[in-house]
Formats: sequence, structure tokens, C-alpha cells
Amino acid sequence: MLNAFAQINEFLNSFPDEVQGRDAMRPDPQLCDRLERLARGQCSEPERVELCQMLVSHPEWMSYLADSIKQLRRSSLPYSS
Amino acid sequence: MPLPKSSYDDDMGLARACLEGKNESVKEVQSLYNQRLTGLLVSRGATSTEAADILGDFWGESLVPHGEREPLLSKYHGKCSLYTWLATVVTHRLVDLKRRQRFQGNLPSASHESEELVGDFDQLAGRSESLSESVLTQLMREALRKALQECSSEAYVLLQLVYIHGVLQREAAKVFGWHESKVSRTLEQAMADIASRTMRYIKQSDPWLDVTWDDFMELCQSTGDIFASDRARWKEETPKVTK
Repeated sequence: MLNAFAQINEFLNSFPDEVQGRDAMRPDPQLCDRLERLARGQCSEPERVELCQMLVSHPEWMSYLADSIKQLRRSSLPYSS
Repeated sequence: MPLPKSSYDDDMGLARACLEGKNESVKEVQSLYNQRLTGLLVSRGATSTEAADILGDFWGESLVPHGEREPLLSKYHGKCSLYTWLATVVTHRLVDLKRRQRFQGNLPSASHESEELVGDFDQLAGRSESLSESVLTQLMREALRKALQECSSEAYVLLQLVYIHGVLQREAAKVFGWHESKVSRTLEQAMADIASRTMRYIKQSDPWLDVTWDDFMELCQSTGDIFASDRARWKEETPKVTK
């Protein structure tokens, strides 16, 4: 069962005009670098707030941040299964 | 090995029998749900007369085929219980009815300028068989959008990372430089704020509509399921453009 936020998201995404242009896009290299620093927890508070505001305006970049965080998870696992 | 039975197979069977024009099935659906739906409509803000009118029309139009027009029940695909589906559709109709009544109350007299009349007519939504265009759908969508816009950017990113992209709360804590308990509190508070803002917006827009956050979530889910079926059909029916 979906959590409430995922359910809201799914409802809003069921309108074609809500999802236009939201396909996963790779941000430019400079932004990739900043998002990877954010994923590693290396951003100052003002920079973090600025990046979060940018992500709200460009939700298509959220996947890049999430993938960067999960990449760190995989690289920090002691054993790979 | 037989396929596992879906929890709504019985409901689907009953719906199919109605669509095939089996009178006893139509009567069964009405006897199972008419009273419950009446109670639900009244609890959501209808008068007894309005509830009876909505259901009277609904049963007449929605269960069995009329000429070439497909009955609304053909849009039930067993993704939720038949009762939830019926409750969703009649709630959409209730909101449409109340909005039409509000419009009728504001109908300008013949002495008004004709431009004003055109303006008011432009605002009037006719009852739509497509729930994606219904007044309630637009209201729910607008309420959620406004509620989400009021979230802080950090809370919004956190909600997306944890609830949509599957990032763990301890990983999010590292990203934000917070303690894990602050992540958990922020998520909880953000969801509570979204719920209360959404309900506040709905109350401001349609004060008569009596729904709880749980009702709202159920409407989101079942309306979304109905869209999904519509979208799938739309994709099938839309001719593919070849280069």
C-alpha cells in the first residue's frame, strides 16, 4: 500500500499536464557536482536551501539526487550480495 | 495451478452481470448499496432529497446500457471495491450538483448586461462523465497544489526523497546535516500540514462539503484508479503517429 504522500503524488501525476516535461533529465555537469555534494552532506545550510528551492522548481532533477544518495549507500555496504 | 483470486473478483462479476443487462444483478447492486450510499451522501453534505435524486439518476443511467452509450459502470475495473467506486462517482456528482445550485442561485436577472450572463455561464461546469474534468477533481487538485506550495522547500525535498524515491531516513539525515529524529519529525509535520491545509482550502471553497482527510485520500486513490483506466483506454484508442 502506498504511503499518503505517494498517493497524493500519484493522483496529481494522473493529469497529463502535471507530468509534461518531468522525464528524468540529467542536470548540467556543474549542477551534478553540487547535487552530489548535497548527497554527501557537504553543503552549507544556505547552499542546501538554495538547492532545495531549485529542486522544487525542477522536480525532474530529484531523481539525480536520489540516485546519488543510493549510490553512496551501495558503495558503503561492507558486503555485496 | 489456478491464479489467485483478486479481492474484487466478486464485485467485478456483479458489475459484468449488470452490464449484460441481468435484472437480478442490477437489483442486487441497488439493494446492497443504495442505503449505504444515501447515508454517505448525507454525511458528506447532501440533503436527503439531494441524495435520493442523485442516486435515482445514477441507478437509472449507470448500470445498464442505453442505446449506444456505454454505462458508467463499464469504467469499473476492479481496482478498488465496487462500493468505493460507487461512493467516489456519487460524491463527484454531489459536488457537481451543489456547484450547479450555487450557480443557479447567482443567475443574473434578465435586466443584467448580456456580457455578465456569458461570464457566469462560462464558469458553470456541466456534469461530466469524465471524472478527470469533474468539479470535485479540480477542487482536490487545486487544494493539494496549494497545500504543497506552502511546504518549505526542504520539507518538500525530504518528502520526495523518502516517500517517492526510497531514500532512507538516516541517509536523508546525513544529506541535511540533521539528526534522524529531526527528519522523522519534519516528515510527520509536513504531512500533517499538507492534510490540514488541503482540508482548509476545501472548506473555504465548498463549506457544505463534509469530508475528512481519510475520505479525501480514499477519493484520491479511487479517482486516480478511474483515471488510470481512462488513460489506458485513451492510449489504446489514440492512433500512433509514425515518422
